[in-house]
Amino acid sequence: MRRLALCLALVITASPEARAQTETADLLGQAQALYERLEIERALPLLRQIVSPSWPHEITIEQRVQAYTYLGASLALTGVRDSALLYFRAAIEQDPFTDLDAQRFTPAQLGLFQQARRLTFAVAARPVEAARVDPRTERARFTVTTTHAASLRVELRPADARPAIVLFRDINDGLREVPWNGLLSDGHLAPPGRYALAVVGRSQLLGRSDSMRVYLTVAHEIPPLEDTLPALAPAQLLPERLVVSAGRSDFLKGLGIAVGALIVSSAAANGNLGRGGRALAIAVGGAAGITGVAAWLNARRERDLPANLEENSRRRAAQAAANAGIVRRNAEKLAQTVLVILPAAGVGP
Amino acid sequence: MNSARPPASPAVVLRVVLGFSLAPAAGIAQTTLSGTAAAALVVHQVDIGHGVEESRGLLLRAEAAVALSRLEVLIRAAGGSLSTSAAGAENRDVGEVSLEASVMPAPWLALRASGTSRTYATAIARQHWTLVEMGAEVRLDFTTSPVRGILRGGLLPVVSVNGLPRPDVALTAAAGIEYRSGSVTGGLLYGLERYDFPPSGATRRLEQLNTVTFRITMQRGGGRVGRL
Repeated sequence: MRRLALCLALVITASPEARAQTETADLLGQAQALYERLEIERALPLLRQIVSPSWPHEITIEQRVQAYTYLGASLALTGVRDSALLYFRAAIEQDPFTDLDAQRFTPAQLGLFQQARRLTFAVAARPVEAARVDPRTERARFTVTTTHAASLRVELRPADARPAIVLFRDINDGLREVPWNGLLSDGHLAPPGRYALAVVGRSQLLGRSDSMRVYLTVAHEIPPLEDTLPALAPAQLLPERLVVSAGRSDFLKGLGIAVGALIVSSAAANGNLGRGGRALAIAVGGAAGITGVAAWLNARRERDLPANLEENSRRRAAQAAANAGIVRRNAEKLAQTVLVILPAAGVGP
Repeated sequence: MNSARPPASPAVVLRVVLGFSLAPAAGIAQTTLSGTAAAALVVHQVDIGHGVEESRGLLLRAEAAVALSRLEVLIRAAGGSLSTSAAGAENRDVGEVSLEASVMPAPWLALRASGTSRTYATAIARQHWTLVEMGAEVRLDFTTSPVRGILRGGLLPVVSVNGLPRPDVALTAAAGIEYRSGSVTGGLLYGLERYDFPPSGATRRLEQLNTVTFRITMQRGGGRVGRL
C-alpha cells in the first residue's frame, strides 16, 4: 500500500516535461513492440502520430530519430520504398550519426538506409566528453561523421587569434575518431581557453557542403610551481667599496660590543659576588674595541674591497644557481601538464 | 566589557616561530652544517652566606649545528674541572649538554631557546641543574671586514637544581666578536650566568658563572652559522 502511495506521489509530482516525454516514450515503445511482432499496419499510425506536428507532447531528438527510423523500416517492409527513403533521410538529417543495426534489420532495409545516406549529405561531431589527457602518453579523441564519401576537414580553432589546428583533412565516409595530441600546430602545448571543433565537409556524390561546430574548454592541470628567488637586496650584499663612513660605523660597533661586555660584567652581574669576572669582560671588550679601532683606521683610505666583491659574486652565483634549479624543477613540472577538456557552450561566456 | 586580548597559546607561539623559521629567506635558502671546538675559561662564584667562594677552570666544548633558511639548531656538549683555593671548598667537575634553536626574523636578530642539563660533581656529592633559556641575540656585521659583533641576553624561566628552590633572578648575558675567514670562524665571547636564589632563613644563595670562550668553527654550506 505504501509502495503504491509512493508511486502515485511520484507520478503527481513529476515535472510536466518528464510526463510529456514519458507519453512519447510510451507510444514509441508500443510502436516498437508492434513492429517487433511484425504488426506493421498497427505500428505505422502510432509512429506517424509521434512525428506529426500535431503531437502535443514533448519529443526529444533521439525519440524523433527513432520514430523516423522505425517508420522507414516499417515502410520498407511494406514495399513503400520512396516513403521509406524519405523517413530514413529525415532520421539522418536529424542525426547524421544514425545507423541501422545489421543484426536487427533486413538487407532490404539496410540497402534502403544506405541509399538514404547517399542521398543526404551532413557532417556532425559528437558533443565533447569531459576528459583528462596527459599529452605525453594520451590523446584526446573527437568523434565525427559524414553520411557518405566526402572530403572532410576537422579543425580545432582557438577562440583567440591563434591559427587553427588541423586534426584531419582527407576523404571520409562514415564514422571517424579523430585524435588530438594536445599541441598547437607550432608544437607547443595548447594554452588554456575555449576552442571550437569545426567539422567541414563537401560531398563527393552531391557536390554539397555542410559544417558543424562543437565547443570545448581546455584547462591545464599543473603541479604547484615554485617561485624564483627575488634579486638580492642591497642589505644582503656586502659593500664593495671601503668608505670612511663605514669605518666609523664599524668603530661604533666595536665600541658597542666593548661597552656591552663591560655592562654585562657590571650591571647584569651580582655585585655581592665581587668582580671576579670583570677581567674576562675587559679582555673581550678590549678585543672588540681594538677591532673597531682597526676597522676605523683601515677605512680612512677609500678603496675597493676585493674580498667583498668576491663574496657578493659568490652570493649572486648561488642565487642564480638556486633560481636555475627552480626554473629546471618548474620546467619538469610543466612537462607533466595534464589537459582537462570540458564541453563548452560557445567561444565565450 | 572585557577587551583584554587573551594570551597567545603555546600552539600559536609555536606556529609563529615555525612560520619565521620555515619561510624562505629573501636570499638563498641553503643548508649549512658546522662543527665547533671551544675552550672556555670559567670563573664560578657562589655565596651561601659565608662569603664568596670562587673557583676557576677550563671547560672544553664541542658543538654541531645545522642552519636551514632562518632556523639554526645546535647540540653542544662541554666538560671540565673547576678548582678552588677556598677553605673547606672542594674542586668540582662540570659536564653539560645543551640543545639550542634559533630563528632569525631579521639578518641581525636571532631569537633563541635552549635547554641545558648540567652536572657539578665533587668526590662526595653531585648536583644536577636543568636550565631552559629564552632570549635574543643581536648580530652586528662589520662593513669593512668579515667581523661580527654579538650581544646576547636571555632569561631562564626554568631553573631546576637539586635541593634548591627556583631562583628569583636567573639571567644570562654575553658580548663578543667573531672573525670569519673562508669556512673558518674564530670567536671570542664574554658570558655571564646569574642566579639569585630566594632567602632561606638568614642566608641567601647567590651564584654566578663568568666565562670567556674562544672558539673555532668549521662550516660547510653557504650560510653563516654565527654561534659563540
